[in-house]
Amino acid sequence: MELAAGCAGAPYAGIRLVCGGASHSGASHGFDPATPPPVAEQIDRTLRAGALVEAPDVPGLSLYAGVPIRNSRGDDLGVLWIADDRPRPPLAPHVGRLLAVLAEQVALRASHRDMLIERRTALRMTSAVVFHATVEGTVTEISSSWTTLTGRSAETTVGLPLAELVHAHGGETIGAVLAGCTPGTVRRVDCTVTTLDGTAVPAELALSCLDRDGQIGCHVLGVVTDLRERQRREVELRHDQKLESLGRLSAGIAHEINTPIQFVGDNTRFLAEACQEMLDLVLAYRECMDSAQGEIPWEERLARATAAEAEADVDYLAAEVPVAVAQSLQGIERVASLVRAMKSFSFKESNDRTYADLNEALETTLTVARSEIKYVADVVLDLGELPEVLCHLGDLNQVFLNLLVNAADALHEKGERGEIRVTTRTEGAFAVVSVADNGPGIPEELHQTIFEPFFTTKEVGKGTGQGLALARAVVVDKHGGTIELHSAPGKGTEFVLRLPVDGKLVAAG
Amino acid sequence: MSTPRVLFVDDEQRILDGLRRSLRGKRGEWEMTFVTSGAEALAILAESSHNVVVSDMRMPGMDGAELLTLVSKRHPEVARVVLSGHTEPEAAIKVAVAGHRFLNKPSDPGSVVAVIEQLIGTTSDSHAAQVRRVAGAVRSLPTLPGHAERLSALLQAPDVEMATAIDAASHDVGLIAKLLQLSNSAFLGSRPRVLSVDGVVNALGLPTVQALVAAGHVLWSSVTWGPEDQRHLEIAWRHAVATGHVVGAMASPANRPYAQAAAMLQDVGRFACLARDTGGAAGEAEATGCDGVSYRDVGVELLHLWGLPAPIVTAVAERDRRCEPSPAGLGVTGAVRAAHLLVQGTGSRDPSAGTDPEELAALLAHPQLAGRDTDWPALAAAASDRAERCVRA
Repeated sequence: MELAAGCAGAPYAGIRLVCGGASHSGASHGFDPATPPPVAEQIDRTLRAGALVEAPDVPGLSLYAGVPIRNSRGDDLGVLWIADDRPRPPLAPHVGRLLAVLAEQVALRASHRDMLIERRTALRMTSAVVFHATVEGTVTEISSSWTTLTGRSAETTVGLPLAELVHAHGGETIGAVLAGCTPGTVRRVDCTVTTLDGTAVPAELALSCLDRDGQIGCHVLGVVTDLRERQRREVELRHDQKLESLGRLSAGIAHEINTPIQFVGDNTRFLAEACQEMLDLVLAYRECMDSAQGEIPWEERLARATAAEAEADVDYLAAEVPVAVAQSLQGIERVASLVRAMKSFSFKESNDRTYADLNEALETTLTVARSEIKYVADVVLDLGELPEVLCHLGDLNQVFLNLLVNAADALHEKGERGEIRVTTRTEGAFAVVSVADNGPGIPEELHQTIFEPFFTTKEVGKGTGQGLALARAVVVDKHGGTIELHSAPGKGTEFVLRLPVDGKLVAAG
Repeated sequence: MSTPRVLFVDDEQRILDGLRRSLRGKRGEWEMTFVTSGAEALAILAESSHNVVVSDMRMPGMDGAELLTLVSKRHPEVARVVLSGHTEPEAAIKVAVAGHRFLNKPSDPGSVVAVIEQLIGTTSDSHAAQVRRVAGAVRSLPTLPGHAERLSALLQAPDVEMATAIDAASHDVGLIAKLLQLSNSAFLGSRPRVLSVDGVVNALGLPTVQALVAAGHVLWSSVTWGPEDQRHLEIAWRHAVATGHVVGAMASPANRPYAQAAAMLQDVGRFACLARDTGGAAGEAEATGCDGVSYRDVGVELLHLWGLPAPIVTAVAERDRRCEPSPAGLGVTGAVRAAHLLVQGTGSRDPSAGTDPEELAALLAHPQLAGRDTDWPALAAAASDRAERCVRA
């Protein structure tokens, strides 16, 4: 303001803001800059409209002029004004330009202040912990949410090395993480934060290197996010999804069991009858052989035996009994393998990873999903040699099931019988599982969105749109693998999963 | 009479083999054919007449519902049985529309034989084949214009109460028929047969009932009735509802569900024939029958195909016959006859049936009714008014 007054040679200068703020400078000589007369107010409004307005005809003032203050978007923030109550020459033309530059500075200061207020408010609102640190890792500033999360005060924390506050997973040191931090990128690592009462909180640490005071990458901005709530939701979601697919499968599984039970029952009843008929026949033979009845002429014996054989329909029994037994055993094996598959499919959820045979897991899942698939598709299995893979098997089973059921649904949509091809192979340190169908395919524009939660093309009641979102969460986030989608309308759909054989290398992130 | 022919359809060869072996004892009585697809089944049926077809539901290509629907159109005289391992509600609806009977997998040969034997037999002596053809073509009973919409809206209300649903269902002849058909199939599992409407609604659950109503709605909402047909439909409907109310008050508690079902279904044959007529050019509505067979014969055959219990079938068969119940009890038949005659004296009378004041007086003097302090004609008049509101609503 002094600058504004000085460059114009005017004793008074001031800023009036639309939002109500006002400040001014200059000694009072009858004109009170703090309470400009109503006329001046009117001039203010006029001033805001143009670049530089001079209003010499205000009573008691020889000069009353100003420029509007506008932010970068052109919004009207207020007026920078100057006033003089002494006789004076007209303003020089460059004064207007100078005042405009000053008004720009005022606008920048205002927006800077707004940003600071916004930042402070955001920090108060979020539960994430935001901190600043030196590139060496000494914490210089930390938000109050740190106290909420850990119970430690900000004062006792500032000045400590970051490595004492969070512990990165997977054997990587915080120092190494900091060292790998380059300007313009964000490093994320899973870590643990220990609270004052000793609870280990799973968290994510995000670090970014920033420039300050003209020095490139001289300090670090970090965010610590508590992952407990997210993990709890993930568990819930997975559970919901599992229940959903089990609910859907249960009707089909009941059918898969009821069918063999029907023919095993029928065959067993037939075998009981057949057995009785055979026994009757044997008794008839025995009677023929019974010497106690005295001599029976050979013709008579032959006639009796032939009659008994005709009664028993021996040829029919000889043809049917072995088939009935074989089919019954097949039926029993079908039920038994289904029950086995269900048991290993619902493999008990544990947080520990185990080495598992993915080929076997795929076969199990196919058995469970058979009822969903067999009416719409033939399954071609092309299972290559796979080493055992360190994984969460229950989760992977669920992913396989989701992919298979999706493929079956896609073929069902198509309306004619199709093919589902399940392929496995090894590629370096990865086990590759591919599930492909020759269904209608997925249009290019949906390739990203299908992995989003709640995306579904299925009718209400058939799916909740969690299947592929879960697949991505399990394969990418939990196992450090990848999912690729190859699909085009009319060309079918293939999902390719790549899973690191030795499990997710957590710290390598 | 030629040997009855039974056709079995299942995509699983082993199921067919098992049935063939376990039904071997019947080989002297029935001619049995076993095929693995709907297309083969249709080819066989086109070649030779059959009495019963027993089909799986889920099959690749043409599924059971499709097959049975085609059979009902091309070969209405063939009784349709479903033998399925599926138990979910969608299957219930498909079965209720396409098939006459439902058998669960696994079923023992005894039940399979019993159902087939019952279906080989017919109820009518004189025009058995023709009655079976007319009755067999029916897949669903027509509803009054606008009624299906109202019922759907009522049942689909987010806060619909079971009692409301049951009350609405028990005034809908077509829905009652479907509910009872399902309750008498093995659909509800091994539970004892549920006969009252509220029992069935409770057992099936509201969503299935809603879906059944919706299925009926789809079938009938597009049909426009000729004024004469609509009048017949309304008369029969109103008469059924009024008789149902009256018989509810008359029958003994043990007989009540049977008697109410019989009252509601007493003119099911007329509904069935109306349903049939809408398929082609609607002919002149006849007073007592269609295609040379009486409505009553068609109705009775239909109830028989659906496997409803004998007391209901008998009561419907004998509604227009003079009834002399034993002093021990009216029985279902007596109660339905008495209620029908009472309603004949009200605004809900069925003009195609007669009245018999003398017989009515005798029935009302029956020990089961005489001892009760009820003004029967007044009760019947009130029931008639309720029925009228129900039809006009």
